[in-house]
Amino acid sequence: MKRYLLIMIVLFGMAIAHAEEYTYLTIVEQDGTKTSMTAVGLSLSFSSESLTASNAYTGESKVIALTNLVSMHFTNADETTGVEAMENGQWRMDNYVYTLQGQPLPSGRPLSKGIYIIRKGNVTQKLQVR
Amino acid sequence: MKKRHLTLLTAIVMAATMMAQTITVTQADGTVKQISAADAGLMTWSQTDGTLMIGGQPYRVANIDVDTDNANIATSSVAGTTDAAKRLYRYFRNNYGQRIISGVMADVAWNHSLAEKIKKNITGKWPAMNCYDFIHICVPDGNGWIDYSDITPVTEWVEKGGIVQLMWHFNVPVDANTAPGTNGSGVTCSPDKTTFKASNALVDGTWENQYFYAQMDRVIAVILKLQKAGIAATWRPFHEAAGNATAKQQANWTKAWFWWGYDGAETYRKLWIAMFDYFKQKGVNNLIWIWTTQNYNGNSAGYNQDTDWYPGDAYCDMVARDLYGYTPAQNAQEFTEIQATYPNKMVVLGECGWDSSNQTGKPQGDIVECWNAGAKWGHFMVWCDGSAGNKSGTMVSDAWWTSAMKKENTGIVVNRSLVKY
Repeated sequence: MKRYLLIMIVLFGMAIAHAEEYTYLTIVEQDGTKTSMTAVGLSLSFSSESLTASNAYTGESKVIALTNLVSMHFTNADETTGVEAMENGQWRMDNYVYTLQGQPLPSGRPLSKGIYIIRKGNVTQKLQVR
Repeated sequence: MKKRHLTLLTAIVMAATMMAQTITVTQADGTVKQISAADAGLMTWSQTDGTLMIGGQPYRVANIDVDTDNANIATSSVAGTTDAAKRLYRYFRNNYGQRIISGVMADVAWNHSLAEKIKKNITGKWPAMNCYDFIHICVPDGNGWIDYSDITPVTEWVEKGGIVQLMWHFNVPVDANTAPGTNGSGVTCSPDKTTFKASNALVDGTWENQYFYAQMDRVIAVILKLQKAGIAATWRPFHEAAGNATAKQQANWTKAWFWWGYDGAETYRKLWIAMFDYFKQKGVNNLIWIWTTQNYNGNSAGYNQDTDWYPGDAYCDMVARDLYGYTPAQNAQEFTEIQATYPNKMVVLGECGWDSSNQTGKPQGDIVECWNAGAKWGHFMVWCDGSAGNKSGTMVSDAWWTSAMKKENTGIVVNRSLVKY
């Protein structure tokens, strides 16, 4: 009886682990940069030179040169590095905001979910709006 | 004892496995493979040979999609091959079992005025989906009151983020010598009011055949216009086909109530497939096809299942049920029965509302209560009712809409502002 219960517990644990619903897919680059993007709805398109990751449901988008790509893995933790995270609407109007492709965005308007480049004076860093 | 434990274990493992996410890997040579996200592990990119290691196997990848598992449901639609159709199908599939897409009927045909009433008069939110009906497509052009060739009512809905559903109450002339009038007269869907025979619609040289294809051409012209505008839609033709025909005790009244079902299951299936093939032949690739079951007419003691009427897995993406006056428990029972009958299709609530054309009829159950009771419909679509005297002009109360669209239910009910695909 105990043996069966033990087997049940182990298999149940395995089943739960297998069934895990992952929140993010994290992409790791050569310099150690990690970018976590919402998993469900994510599309990864490979060209000869780059990987384009985009999620139409959340508006997240990122382009990575394949020469910089190391690996990807599913996770439930947002592992994005070098990114300042804030709730939408909390960014300051005196900051300059750009898309990851470098396109400037108008100031004072709410941003959709995603990752942006933000410049505060002489400091530039990534911003994740969630 | 052992057997019971093993059975339990098997059930647990199967149930848990079904919940995992799936990645669809399209390789450079076009081959497609589905892998559980849990099995993908650390996916490493080889700078040497340009392959991605997934689950211990190297892949030369062109594209990867990450989706909710819904393992039984096909990852692509049977006929929706445009980008918009693929995205729409994927959106429905990723929401399936997670949330319900809200929807409402047009004020009969070619507008989104009821959706606007729900937003402006009651809830402050737009339903996610608007259903348009080709019921008046047979009315001659230049009639002065309806113009399907003007697709503005659809484009302006889509531009605001809405999902489009198209259906067709396929009207036919009352007889071979009657042409549809410019005021919409002279046509019907009821088999007892026309000499139009469904079986003849498939026979070359008959007036029914000529009319059948001519009307399809009129509808196709509009759908191709939508397709050209980058619009995809769910498409629900030939609904409720079996009517009462599956009654175990046959009587005079145990017939189909629409002409397309009146000549029986075999003719009906042929009609469906003829339409499907003709649409494909004409280049229609932007539709998600929905077939509507009668599901025992809600009474398995009195009716047989209408599986004979099902056109087949290759001809539809979703199975709908039209319910009027059903409680949450009844909704759950219907959903469960239909899903069990068609385990590889998404199941949706095709129509719902009161069980009669006034507010005194039995109501459609609160949609969140239905959901919590187990009715995990992919979408709901509330029918119109011009005589209701309520603020929405639909067959549910204003309080029903308020409940469905309130903020705390946005985790269950998708309104238009939440739609992104």
